[in-house]
Amino acid sequence: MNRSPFAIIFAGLAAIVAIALLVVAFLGEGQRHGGHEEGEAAPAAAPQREVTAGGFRLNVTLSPEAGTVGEVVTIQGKVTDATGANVRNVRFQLVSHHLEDDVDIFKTSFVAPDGIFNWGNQFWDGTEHEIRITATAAPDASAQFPTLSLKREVAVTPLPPPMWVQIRALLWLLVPIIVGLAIGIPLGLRQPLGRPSVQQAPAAA
Amino acid sequence: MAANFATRTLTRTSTITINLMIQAVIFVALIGLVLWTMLFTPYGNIHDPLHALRHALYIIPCH
Repeated sequence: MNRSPFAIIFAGLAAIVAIALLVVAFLGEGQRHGGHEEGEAAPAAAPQREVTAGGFRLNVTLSPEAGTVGEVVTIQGKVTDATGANVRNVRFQLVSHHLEDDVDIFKTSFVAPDGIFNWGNQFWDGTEHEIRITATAAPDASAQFPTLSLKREVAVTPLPPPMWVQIRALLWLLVPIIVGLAIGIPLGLRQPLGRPSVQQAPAAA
Repeated sequence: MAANFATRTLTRTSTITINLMIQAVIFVALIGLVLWTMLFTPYGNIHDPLHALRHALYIIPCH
């Protein structure tokens, strides 16, 4: 009788894999709240909407307050003095910081002549970002004020990658296995060296 | 005729042994299914614990 040992390996592997997946799924049940959306950080405090120094106030509003990949979040910032009037000629620096990879995704600097800016920002990755806004007085500003910095965390809804991207990544993982089978199966079918074939049962006496 | 239970079971098992090439195809399909479940499923219980693994592999798109 010709039975390939491959069948036994195959069945054993399938069983191990099935059990491993079950274990992962059950372990995941306990970690459900420490996953994607919240990350390692403690639950965020109330978002920082404004910062004041010496009577000057930097105020930042986001609409909507949470992002979605491919949709614009409008960031509005303004600097006002103690009387509530806008400061003229404010230099703003705006940074969109990717928290998970700790890298600046976008960074720009500009002068707002009337002390107020509107910035339409699109997020390209569905994970937490931090919007960092720094306001400094330009040389010709209507009032000189200390640097005002504000950091604002923005949650961006995770988005599954496109199907063809997933399939392509999966194929990259499968190619080594397919190559291994293509090399290994012909080798395994050859007679083992120095051992008799066990394909025939010994003849009954 | 002493076809006892063990002999009959072994005989039946040997007759459903499938072609090696079909086994290989099923094997690759099974590996693919497992990898898909581990790396690409949106099901949170599997997706979230394997988040770090997905990023560590570099070629796996995540979010």
